Amino acid sequence: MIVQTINLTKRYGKLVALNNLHLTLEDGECFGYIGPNGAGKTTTIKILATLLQPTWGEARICGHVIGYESRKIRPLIGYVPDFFGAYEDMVVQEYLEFFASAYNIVGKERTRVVGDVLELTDLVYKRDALVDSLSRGMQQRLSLARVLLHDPKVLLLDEPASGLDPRARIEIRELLKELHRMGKTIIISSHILHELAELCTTVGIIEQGELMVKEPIHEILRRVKTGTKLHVRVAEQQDLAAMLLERTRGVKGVEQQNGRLIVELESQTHDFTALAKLLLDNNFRLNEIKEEEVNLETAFMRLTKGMVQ
Amino acid sequence: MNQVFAKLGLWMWRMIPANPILTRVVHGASRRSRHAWLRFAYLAILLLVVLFSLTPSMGGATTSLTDLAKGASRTFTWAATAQLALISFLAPIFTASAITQERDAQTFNILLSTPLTSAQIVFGSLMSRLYFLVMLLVAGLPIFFVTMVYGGVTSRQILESFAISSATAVLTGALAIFVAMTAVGTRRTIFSFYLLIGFYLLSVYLAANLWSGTWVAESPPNLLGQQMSWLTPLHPFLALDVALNRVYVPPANRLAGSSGVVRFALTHPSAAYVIWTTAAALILTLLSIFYVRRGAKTGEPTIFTALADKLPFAKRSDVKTRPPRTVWSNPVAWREAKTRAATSGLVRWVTAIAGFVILLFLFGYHLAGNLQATTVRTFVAVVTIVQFAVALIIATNTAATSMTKEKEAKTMDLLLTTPVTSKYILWGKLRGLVSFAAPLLAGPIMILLLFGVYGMISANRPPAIWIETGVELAAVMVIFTALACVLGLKVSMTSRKNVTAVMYSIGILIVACGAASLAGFGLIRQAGGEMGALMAPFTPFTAIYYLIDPSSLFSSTKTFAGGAAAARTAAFVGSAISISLFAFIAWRAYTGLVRDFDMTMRKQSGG
Repeated sequence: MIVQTINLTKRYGKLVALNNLHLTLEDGECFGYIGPNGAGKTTTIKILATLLQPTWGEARICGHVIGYESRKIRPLIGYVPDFFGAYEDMVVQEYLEFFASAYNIVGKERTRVVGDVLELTDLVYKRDALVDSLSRGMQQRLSLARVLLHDPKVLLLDEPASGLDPRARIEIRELLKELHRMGKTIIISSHILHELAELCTTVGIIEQGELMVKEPIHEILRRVKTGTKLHVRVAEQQDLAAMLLERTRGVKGVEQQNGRLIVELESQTHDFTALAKLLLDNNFRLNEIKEEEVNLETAFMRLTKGMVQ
Repeated sequence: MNQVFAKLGLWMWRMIPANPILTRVVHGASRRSRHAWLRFAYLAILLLVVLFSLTPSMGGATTSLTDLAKGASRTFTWAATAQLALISFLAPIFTASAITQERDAQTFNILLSTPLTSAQIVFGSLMSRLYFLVMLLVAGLPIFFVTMVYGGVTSRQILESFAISSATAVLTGALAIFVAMTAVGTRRTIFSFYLLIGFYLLSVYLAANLWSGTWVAESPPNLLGQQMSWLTPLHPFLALDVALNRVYVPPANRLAGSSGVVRFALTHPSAAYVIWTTAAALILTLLSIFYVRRGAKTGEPTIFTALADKLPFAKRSDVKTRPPRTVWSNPVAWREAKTRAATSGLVRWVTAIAGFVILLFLFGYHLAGNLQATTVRTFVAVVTIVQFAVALIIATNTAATSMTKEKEAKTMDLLLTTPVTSKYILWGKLRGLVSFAAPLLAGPIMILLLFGVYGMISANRPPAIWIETGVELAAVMVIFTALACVLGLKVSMTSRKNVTAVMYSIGILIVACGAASLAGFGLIRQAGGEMGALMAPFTPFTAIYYLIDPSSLFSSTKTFAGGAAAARTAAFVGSAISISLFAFIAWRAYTGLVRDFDMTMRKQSGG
């Protein structure tokens, strides 16, 4: 267990930002943290980054307790906030050397490490560029370069892809995949759910400071899948097709939506080839028939109530 | 015709009373306790000044009406000066925030995309800045009318004094808005703005009072033999001196050879000051209206950015790269000392070099035998005091922004997640600040030591400056600078915004140094002799003045019992005690900062 929180609670006056959070992450896990704005994601990440003290409860990283052994924890974590902290009048290399010094990496070792992370993050050609003149995508890449300087075990990433253009997002995602392959444990909060689905091994959904679920993605999808829905598109006579399907055994209901039929099947019905055959036998030209996809967005919508504090 | 008037009325109505920018500030200000407290403090200071100056004239039962009138006149003089001093101090503070506020809040472009006209935006911004100052002036009015009760003060004098204060506030506001509209303001812009205003007020006032070359020969001298300067219409305090009858204007008939404008300015300096400042404010406002929808704020290059790019030391706006420098092993100290994120390097170097050159020139002049020892001491003391005052302000300003700039740039959180400890961060900040301030102190110390060494080897007795003076002052100045840095750091730690941190720390510095120096000079003069020399090193400016020029203590009523040697010993002992005491205070304050750092920073991080 590399990250563990027990009854982790954070209050800001009367506002309960986190309520008895229990979370455990294994070494090498990539954990996607999702929830509405104000749900408590950033608070959790800030506590794990040793920036905030919990009101009560406990959080541990590599067995070290946050608040008591923060000095031992800091070299083990890399924190990327949801903003880019740009120092004025610093070029990329100075920025990285600055943080390398803060992590006690000095002399030739510092030059080597800075060179390595610049290469890994593909920023070598930006070595002399002023950090405040970089694009948002470049700044985010530089943020990742910064947290790699000291080779941390755990990466805490708070919405690293927010505000990035599609290319920059894909580049960051690929970089994170590479870091995951390198064995880093990653906690990443994001609102871009399909990207999390591609990257993460487990996902946690938090709402109003409470963790609703923390499971592997396929388990969450299985859990929210209540029954099978089919999307059917016929070339003509859609109304007749709907009437026909409604009268068929195993069909719970049919709805017409944007030129297609949404067919809800009984829970015990899994095979829908019979429905396809029925339509074809009744001379309907079948353009499309497919099972409705349950993705992370659907899961998120079903599992959360959209309530914020 | 009626339609034209109706439209004009509506335009005027939208311009000021119904201006949304102004109404937002007025509504917000009434709910802010900070404003109420400031108003309370302003009135309290004015009342204290009035009570302090009224007390002597209310002393006995036999006080005549003439005494009361004289007392009221003296009270008015004090109150008017205090009012102008407070307005001159507060006006840059309240108006300067305009320079960065829209940029910080990122609301400017939203404002530009609304149907508000350029004039509405500019007037709204200007009036909202001036609103608070106007409220202060209005709140002080009853105090001034009290002075009229006993006679000795005319309503014209009150009007003049208010007009001068108001005109100063309006010009300062218009200048701040002009800077805000034509440049992308940073905290360096704000600091330069303060420094420019302070430098103008101080240098013109000193020039007019000390340099008889600026005096108008036709004006009658006052009791001190001082005549009115031709700089008077250009400076609020000089204009106020005339309004208060402390300096006399030349008779119009003796200026027959001068042009009409010059004659008017010299015979009515207060009116001339109010007219030119109002006209300048109007021009700046019109220029602001012209620039509000074009220029730096909207991302376009302006004539000013083009000019700034041509300056030799300026950072070119189009340069996005440069070779990296070597980062020190303590990155926090490196950042504090070496990056331009610190206070403008240009201001620091200009101050350091100017002070050094002037003192070197004095040394050369003295070496050539052209300056007497007593004159040398006075000049060296004045130049060192000015240089040290600037050094203190720069050091305090830099210290005050050292944490807030991290908070505003959101880099503090990044630093807090690294293994660097609070002690390491604060030590790094302090080390960087000392490196940053060192050139400002090095010049005067080097020249004082040079004078000291020359004094030792030359046959002149007593020497212009004693050898130990340089050593004593070096230690005293470093300790007071360290104290100023700790003060700045303390304020910076608890503040969230640069502007607030600078405002509070510079305010505390000015009040503390001003009060300590005023009391110090008074007490030391009164004590004189060895006691005076012993006390001198306990405030920064008395230390400089009396350690360089201990002979001034001889001229007091009490003389040195043991002669120069006793004075030197007393000054040395006083310096040693003062240095130890203030070093202890600075150290305690520093350790307190280290202790509170984590708690304060993490609290703010969560907010």
